[in-house]
Amino acid sequence: MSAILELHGVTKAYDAYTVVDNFNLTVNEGELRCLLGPNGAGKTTTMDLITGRQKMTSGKVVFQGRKISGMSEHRICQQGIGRKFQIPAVFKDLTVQENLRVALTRTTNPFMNMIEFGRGSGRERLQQVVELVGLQERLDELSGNLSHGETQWLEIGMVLTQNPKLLLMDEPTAGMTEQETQKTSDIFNRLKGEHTLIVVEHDMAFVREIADIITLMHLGKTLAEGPMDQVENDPKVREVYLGSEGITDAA
Amino acid sequence: MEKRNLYHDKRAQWAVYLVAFGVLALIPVWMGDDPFTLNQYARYGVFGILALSVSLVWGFGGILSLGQGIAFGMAAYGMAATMQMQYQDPVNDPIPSFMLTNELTALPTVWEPFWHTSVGLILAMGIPVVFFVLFGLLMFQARLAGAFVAIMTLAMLGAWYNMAYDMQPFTAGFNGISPPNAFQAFGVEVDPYSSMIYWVSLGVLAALTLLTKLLLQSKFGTIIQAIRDDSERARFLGYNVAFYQVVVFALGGLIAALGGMVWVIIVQYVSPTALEIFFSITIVIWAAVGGRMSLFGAIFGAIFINAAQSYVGDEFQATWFIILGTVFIVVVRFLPKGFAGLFEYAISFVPNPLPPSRSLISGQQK
Repeated sequence: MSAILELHGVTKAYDAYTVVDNFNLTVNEGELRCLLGPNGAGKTTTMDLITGRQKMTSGKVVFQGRKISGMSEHRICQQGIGRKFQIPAVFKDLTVQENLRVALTRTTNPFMNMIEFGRGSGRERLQQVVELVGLQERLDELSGNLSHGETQWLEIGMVLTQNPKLLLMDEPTAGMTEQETQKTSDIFNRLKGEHTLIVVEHDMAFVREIADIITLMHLGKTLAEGPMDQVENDPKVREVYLGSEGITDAA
Repeated sequence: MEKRNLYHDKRAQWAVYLVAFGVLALIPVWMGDDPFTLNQYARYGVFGILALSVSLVWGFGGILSLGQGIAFGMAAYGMAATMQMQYQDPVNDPIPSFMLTNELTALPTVWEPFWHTSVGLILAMGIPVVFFVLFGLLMFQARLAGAFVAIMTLAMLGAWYNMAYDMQPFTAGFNGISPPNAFQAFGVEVDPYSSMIYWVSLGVLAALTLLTKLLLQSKFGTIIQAIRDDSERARFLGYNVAFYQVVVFALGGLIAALGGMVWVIIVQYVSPTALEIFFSITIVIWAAVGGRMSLFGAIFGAIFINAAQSYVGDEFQATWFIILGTVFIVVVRFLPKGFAGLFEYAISFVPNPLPPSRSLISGQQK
């Protein structure tokens, strides 16, 4: 397996406060990596730095052998990196179907899209995604009327429609019921292998279900990295999380 | 609320648009050809064009531009210059009289191209568009949105107003330019008091409306609405949001510019009032009252309010703006989608008699 994403000494500092501190990360192709850590560990900031939403203070990000740090957001996205936000972001005044069609970015040129009336093109892809996230019955609903769980799935569906090589998922199960979380982990297990995923998550049961390797962040640095069992039993981790309960309670 | 009702059915929308414009085209046949009425109705057509531009830019593009008058005014001056030079004689009378009274001894270089009607028309239409592209780049590259765009466009409009007012030798200042003859193109004179002017105005309105409607049904149309809803999300789907916004803004400028050109053909006059701040804000009110998220609603709003002003306003001259302001407040508070929203609500009780159109994604629609 070859590395698809590499972070080299990535640092983000606001004046005296360093949010992400000389952070290194290597993610291999087809892997599902979970990014864990307490609030303020720098997980979401790391996602922002990868996708160009925030500018890093120093360091670089390499995606498929190409330096992407410094590119604008849409350029980074066009390299093949999709992102789901922490607070679900969908186009509320458009229908589910229209949301997905916007996500199907065959071309991003405005003038080419003026003569694109969506007859047929990309149908199979949309069909697949709709089935995967289970919104078949909701295609003509305004997405502003969806339930919270459905909104999360729609956004996951939109990111999948883009067919990116790397998917960044920021708390995909936040606010979901247990059943909805179960369905989401099913979706993720089906994505593994085909896509490379980085998932920020708090729900340990969910992480156990899906993760290959966990990177545990603390104060902007890697505290531990490895499979779940190994990370859980790491003495450093236990120290940070104060003792015997392990990371389950703290997260 | 299910989105699929008759109001949202694209086939029904096209039918309504085509029928409405068809009926409007017959007005001179029914109403006879009272020249003043036709001239008046032609003016309403231009107001409709302006509301259309606001609907596209604000209703669908999410860009609250209070500066549509910039494009309207620039194009109006361009058109007036073109018509003025149609009247001037290159040999015996090359300088418009207002320039002579302002002690100019030669035609200013910027006026030279307007000797040629075709060049004049291209400039009248093209300069506002180029300006809107540059101005749009300035704003949208910096990711300005919402109230900041409104303030920037308003300030820019104010600047152009002052320029038109102050550059008296070139623009005739406060008095404005009144070309003595009707506009002539391809050997035809467009009499501003005739059925022809009405059809010119309505024709431009109809063509622009249908083209805009087509544009909004393309993927581009869906994308600009997506950007309106959540520009950040669109950006992280790989769209260059600023590029899209510049294009929408410039298209809105183009529509307003064409409105300005038709306006001068109708009234044979332009003055800084075309660039007045109050006028541009009024355009936004028309669109808001009629329904900014509906092209037809916005156009209807423009015509309705202006007709009301002509026929009711005469009796309430002093209080007209109070009435207009009240209507605006009531609509914004209770009908955020304007009259069109009211219509959308009313029609949701009517079952859609049309068979479901083919879904773009799956075949399992009810």
